[in-house]
Amino acid sequence: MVMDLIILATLLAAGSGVPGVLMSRRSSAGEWIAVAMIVTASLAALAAMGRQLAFAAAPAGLSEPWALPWGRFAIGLNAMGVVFLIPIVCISSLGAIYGLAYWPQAHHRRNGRKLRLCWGLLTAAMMLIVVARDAVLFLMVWEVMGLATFFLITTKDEDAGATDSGWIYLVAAHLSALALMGMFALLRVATGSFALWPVLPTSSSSVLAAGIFILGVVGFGLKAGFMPLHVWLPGAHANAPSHVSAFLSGVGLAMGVFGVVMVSAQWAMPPIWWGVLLLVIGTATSLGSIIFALAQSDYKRLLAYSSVENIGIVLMGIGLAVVGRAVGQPLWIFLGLGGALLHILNHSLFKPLLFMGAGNMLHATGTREIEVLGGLAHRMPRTAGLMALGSAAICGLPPLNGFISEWMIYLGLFNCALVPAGIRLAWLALAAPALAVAGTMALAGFVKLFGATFLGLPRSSQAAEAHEAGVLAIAPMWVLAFGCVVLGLAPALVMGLLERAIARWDAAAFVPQPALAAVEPLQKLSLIFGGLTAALLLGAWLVYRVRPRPGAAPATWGCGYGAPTSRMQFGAGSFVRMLTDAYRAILLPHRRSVKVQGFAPETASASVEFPDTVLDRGLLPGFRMVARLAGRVRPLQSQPVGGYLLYVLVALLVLLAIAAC
Amino acid sequence: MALSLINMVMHLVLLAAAPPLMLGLIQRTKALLAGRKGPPLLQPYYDLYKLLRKGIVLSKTATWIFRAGPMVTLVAVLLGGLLVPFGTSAAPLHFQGDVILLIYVLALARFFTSLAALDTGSSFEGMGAAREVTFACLSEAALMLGLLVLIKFSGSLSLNTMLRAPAMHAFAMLPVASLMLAAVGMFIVLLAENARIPVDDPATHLELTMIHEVMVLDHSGPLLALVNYGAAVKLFVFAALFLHFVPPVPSASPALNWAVFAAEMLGVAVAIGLVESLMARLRLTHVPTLLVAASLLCGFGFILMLR
Repeated sequence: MVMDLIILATLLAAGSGVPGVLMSRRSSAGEWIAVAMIVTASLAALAAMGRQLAFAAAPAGLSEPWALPWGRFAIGLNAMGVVFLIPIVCISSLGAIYGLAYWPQAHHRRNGRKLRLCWGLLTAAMMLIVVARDAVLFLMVWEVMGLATFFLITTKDEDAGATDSGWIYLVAAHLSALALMGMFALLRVATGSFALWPVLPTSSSSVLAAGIFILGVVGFGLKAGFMPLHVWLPGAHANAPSHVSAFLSGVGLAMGVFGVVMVSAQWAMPPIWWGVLLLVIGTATSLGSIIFALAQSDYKRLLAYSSVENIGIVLMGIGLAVVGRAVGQPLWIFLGLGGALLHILNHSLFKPLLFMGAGNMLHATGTREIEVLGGLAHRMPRTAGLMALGSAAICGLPPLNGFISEWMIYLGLFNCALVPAGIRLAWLALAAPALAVAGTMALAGFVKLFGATFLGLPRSSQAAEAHEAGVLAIAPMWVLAFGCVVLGLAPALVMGLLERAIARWDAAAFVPQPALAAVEPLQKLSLIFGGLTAALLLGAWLVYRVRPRPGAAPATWGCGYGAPTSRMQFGAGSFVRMLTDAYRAILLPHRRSVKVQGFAPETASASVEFPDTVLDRGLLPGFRMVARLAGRVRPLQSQPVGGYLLYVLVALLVLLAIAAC
Repeated sequence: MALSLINMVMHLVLLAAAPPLMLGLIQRTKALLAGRKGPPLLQPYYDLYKLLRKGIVLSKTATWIFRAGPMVTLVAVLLGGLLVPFGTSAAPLHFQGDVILLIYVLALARFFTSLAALDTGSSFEGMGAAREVTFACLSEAALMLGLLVLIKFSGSLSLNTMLRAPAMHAFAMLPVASLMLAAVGMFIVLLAENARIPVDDPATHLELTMIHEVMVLDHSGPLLALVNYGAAVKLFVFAALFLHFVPPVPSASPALNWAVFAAEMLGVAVAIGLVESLMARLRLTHVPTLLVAASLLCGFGFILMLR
């Protein structure tokens, strides 16, 4: 029954774009049918998950042979799957509804149908990734996910920015698939079958185990965006339609995390260095990417880098859990993995919220440049309020949901400092200040994003003439914002699910029942957050009762200067200038300026760009150099027949020489 | 039971009423050292009362954020004040992991203060906000490393236990070197987070000041009262936090303990006044160096305890 519902949901989602494709480009019936099918699919999947959690004692499963030479059609659902499935179906539905307003068929005749077809395929593929219990099936749907994502990123295939980012993504996706093929082949060597997710014998220090782990981290890390494997991510999320960015960022990245979680669960006693490695990568990812996020002048790129940062935070939690498993500290597992899973859920709420808000901004102003916006809060009050809430949530501010998951990870890291003598891992607690620094920089980045776009005066006519988005675009954002508030005030709602998921990951995590010890402060935290919310509401009531003096509202005081203009405001680039200067060795900014000379200077200009250091300073020049070197070799190939005969002769002589030796 | 109730009432009364007095004492100290008589000790209270009765002027650029800023900041620092134990008595709110909540309510305050500054569209206030969020990146690292010292020492993740741990142990048991390093670092954090000299000069609204007073330039009337009161509460909470790194020997009498706490708090105010009188404000570009030094001091303090 459970698996039947899941299969039904998958089929409905996968086929949701098909009716639209069969219809005329002018008809907008297809988009409504697609949304109806996606929402039905989501409800079916939610029903299946509810049934599984409420009534089933054992994980549900289904395994049928198929005509392929390898593997089976094997799927299954357990609590860990549920944690990842919920965001998939919820964000897919909300994003599809948002798409009705953001990408209507009437305005996007060329590519609207393609977008919805791939949206449905991507939803179905991600659902199958989570439930797949066979490596061949997994790789097939992983590839479908990669291709559907590619076509979604390149929805506007006449736009060079979108296609370039799409190609980079496609290369990354296939490198990821390649690594995963290697990993599954090694798993087959280790276990003798393609069944997922196998529990491997404890001889985990062997080279084989390390190979499986490393290939898994690389393959899934390319999808999740671990630094320095994040190179495809900023461009892809910036250039895709905004609801696609919301889906890819809020849920798509979580598929990579899902893989890392499952791979690291396969050994009862992993070596400590695996966990330390994940923790170090996670710390480097969150610190490194938030520096890039700060510097961006494109608000969608900023959000994309912030996604990388959040994935880094999640990875810190997972790394802590793996260390905890290696040294037998159940509390670390509970706090690390619990925080990581909760952060995945949280990130799937606030990041789509922010990307949808960014979509509203882009729709209203037609630009992704932060520097030319400003004052949007007057023209788009609802988007502004929702974006403010999303920004506060992603910065982990109380009383919203982002705080709870980061709090759990912090607690886990602090617990490292309290280890009993014998485990010399107290230095791992130093990851906590690093996380705090990443958190403050995220706060700086989001103050910059919100302050420079929504507050102050408009810096251009586009910003001055912006308009609020329609109700279909605002309603999904309300749902997400509501989720942020509810999970902040009552995290206990999902704790039961998380505990069951953690028990799936490592049943030993609950032997001394650390869960209760950690949940007790959670209840206190909920009470305090309730009080804080009440105090804020009361304060708001008091503050907004104060009326300003009647008469015309004055302009902001310009320190005695009578005619300030909007261009004199403090710009977004200046806002983070001290930080971007401090990290210029990592950012490697590209500055161009025309020097001002003489008493009556000509028009001068200055600009600064922050390209991705790994991609634009490392990989792309490297690839170009390889292409140039390859070009040097090319004349060897375009020889007349005599030249080729010479090659044959030389080859023969070399072979003879080798044979003679 | 009755004793803890009295302690809690004392905590709430002190948190609500005492903070402006510290500002008054700082001003008086500075005035005396400069050879002036200075304003009365209670002047900050008079100012608050005056501001509360005035009307507000709102720029036409401002949105709802502008009014939310002072209010959210005040609520956040008051919540922080409920988490930090004053002297030897317990904090009203405490649970395992409240140390993170303290750091994040300060972040909540910072988020809304700097957004309210940007809300006016003034370039001067924008600069202040930029400095606020930039320096916070450094001072928060120092704060967390400093707290790690006490976490490691006390084995607890609750401010209530970890902060009071040094006072509860005999002197011979204390990690004196770590505590001293962390105490210096925390004093720098105290000065930086509260925009005092040598990081910022709170004496004027314009020429000398760079961070906090800049951000609140457009607030007026009751909103400015909230800002000033919130700033005083924040200073009070940080001073109470700092005092736990240089603990006195607790006595059996609660009344004596409260008296010692009050004296220590006034001592911190005098110390801040002394620093402000004897030092010049640092150049803006040198502030990060000072804050990095604070982080390093606290970090060394933690590393010394690892062994």
